[in-house]
Amino acid sequence: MKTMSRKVKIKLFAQISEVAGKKELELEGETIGDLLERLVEDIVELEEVLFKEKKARSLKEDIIILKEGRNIDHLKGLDSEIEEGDKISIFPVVGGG
Amino acid sequence: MAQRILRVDMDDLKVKEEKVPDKYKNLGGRALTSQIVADEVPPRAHPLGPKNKLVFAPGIVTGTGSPNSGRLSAGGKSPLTGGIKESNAGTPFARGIARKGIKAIIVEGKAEKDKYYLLKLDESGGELVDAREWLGKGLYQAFQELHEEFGENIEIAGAGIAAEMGASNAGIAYTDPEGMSSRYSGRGGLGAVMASRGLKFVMAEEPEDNNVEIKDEETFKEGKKKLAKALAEHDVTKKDGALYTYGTSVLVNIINESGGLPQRNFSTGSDDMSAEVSGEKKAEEIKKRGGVESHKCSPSCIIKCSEIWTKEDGEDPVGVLEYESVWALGPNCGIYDLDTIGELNRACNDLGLDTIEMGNTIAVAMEGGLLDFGDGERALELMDEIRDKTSLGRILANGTEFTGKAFGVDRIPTVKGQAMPAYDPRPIKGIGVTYATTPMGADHTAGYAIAPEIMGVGGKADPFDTKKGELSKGLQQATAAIDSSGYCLFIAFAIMDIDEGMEGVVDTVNGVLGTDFSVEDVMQFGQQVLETEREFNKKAGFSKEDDRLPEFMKEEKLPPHDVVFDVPDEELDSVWED
Repeated sequence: MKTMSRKVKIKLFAQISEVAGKKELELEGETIGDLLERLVEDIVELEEVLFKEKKARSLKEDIIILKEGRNIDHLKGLDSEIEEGDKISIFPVVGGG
Repeated sequence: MAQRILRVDMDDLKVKEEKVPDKYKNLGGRALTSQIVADEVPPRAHPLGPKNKLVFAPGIVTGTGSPNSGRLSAGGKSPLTGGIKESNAGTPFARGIARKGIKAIIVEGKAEKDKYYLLKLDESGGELVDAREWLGKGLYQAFQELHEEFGENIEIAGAGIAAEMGASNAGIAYTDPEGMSSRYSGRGGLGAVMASRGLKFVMAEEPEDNNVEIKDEETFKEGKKKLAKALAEHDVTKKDGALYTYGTSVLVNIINESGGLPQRNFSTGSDDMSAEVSGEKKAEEIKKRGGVESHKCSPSCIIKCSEIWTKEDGEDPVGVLEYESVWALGPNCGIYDLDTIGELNRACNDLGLDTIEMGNTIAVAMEGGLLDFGDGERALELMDEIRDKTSLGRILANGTEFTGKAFGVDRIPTVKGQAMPAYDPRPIKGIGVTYATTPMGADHTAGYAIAPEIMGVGGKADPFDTKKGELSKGLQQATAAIDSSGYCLFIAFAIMDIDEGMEGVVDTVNGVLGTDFSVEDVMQFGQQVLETEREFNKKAGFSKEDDRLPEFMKEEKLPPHDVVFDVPDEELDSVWED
């Protein structure tokens, strides 16, 4: 099946947005994994913030990624497919209450 | 000096010292306040009547040098819920009374009508002196005057103007490290229980000698080291972590993005405007204004999630703006301006009101047409109605359910009469199970399912999954134990993920008490506390039908996820079944 790249809005929060020096950007991709690849190409400083190792491409445990308000851990992780116009939110692990 | 219990008899204005009975020896904090209330207060007693009692108890490790050990429990029968209440606070007052060797203070009876007293704790126990000169005064001013009169080093617990009216939303204020009235046993109306006894303030100066006895120094020291290490390592609690950098309201953005931040009286779970009141925005403003970030609420804290919020010119400090307060007085009222929220929070601290309950009350009044959503100016005027003790002020000070009824509102977000905190239970089901089933009425801290459901701390749970009975139960047990230990609940973030941290907690408790509790005993200890509380509530007239969320949450879909609260009643009931 042919898949198509979709444009989505990525929002960065807390220390992640401080490292990136921006709060929002738009990128294209088919899956969350794709998007993150493009994100770290664009903002290289985020590579070590988001990923455990350069090649292995597994997310650090202290990173939370939401696709349309749903944590990708409860979807298909980095393989979660994205749809045109989705909102992706990326957080460091936070606490409070 | 051996530990003792102080019994303050407000009928004959005497303070008596009692030995700690064997049955209370290994209890502290919530376990102790709940046990004393269960033992001494008739469950059907009127909360403001002569048979109710107010109990203060520092936790087991409070007053030691262990990190984040500055917690205190206040307990009694709640005028807001009609059930048992424990309301936990971090304040230097906790250490002050713990170091005097005081295991608990039991305030009972009632002074003559319109007489109010200040309990001055001293080496021989304490004395009650006339406190009528502070009636009708805001707590910021009263605390300042008390410091001027009795010395800069005193720590204070105080009931405010709301409590003088016997209002169900009156909390107990405590000094923060700057001496302001910004630390609270806010929830459940215990300030009204205090003032209805004729007690306005309790004052303690920390003694030169620390009277907290540590029975096994070696075990204690070992445990302290383990816990400090876990707190320093965990991503949530470490220095420069999210709590340290942005304070608790770092949660505004993530809960909003998750679709669970209630706005305009629980009408939607997300609004882009919320970013205006986020932890990031607050930290940015504090930097500009010259307030204090990464501040500790009590002396032993190493997490430092607190801060000092000020007016725009850096003057007139309010104290901390907690996540819950920011949400309740902000987005839940359609208010997206930190300065307005700061002033509403100041009014709550000054009048002696719980911010969660007050924010919900204003939101429900907005829904009922008393004012418009987003009208911060009018909301501030309503706080003056309370200050002036007008009829409207009295309605508002009695909380969300009372105000909702007064204004004919059918969407009232309460459980057992207590208003919900800053997480909508429709898209985050586990926290809803806690709201429904805790003996405390809607309370997030009682079993903080947000940690696994949103943060992935202490395991990962899908917030949409409805099978959450077991999760909530485990969290409620662990919380009841932590609330008894004297540790801040925020250590849970670290000890749920790092085993050594949990061992550290148990070791320090064993070190103080000379006991040999194991990590496995922690949940059983917590379960016993919960059973004591449940039993009291049962005798006070509660049944499992009270362990339910309001009807509208089961019927009305919450945007943006468009979901209702669909956890079956059987799942809720499973929390308390064997």
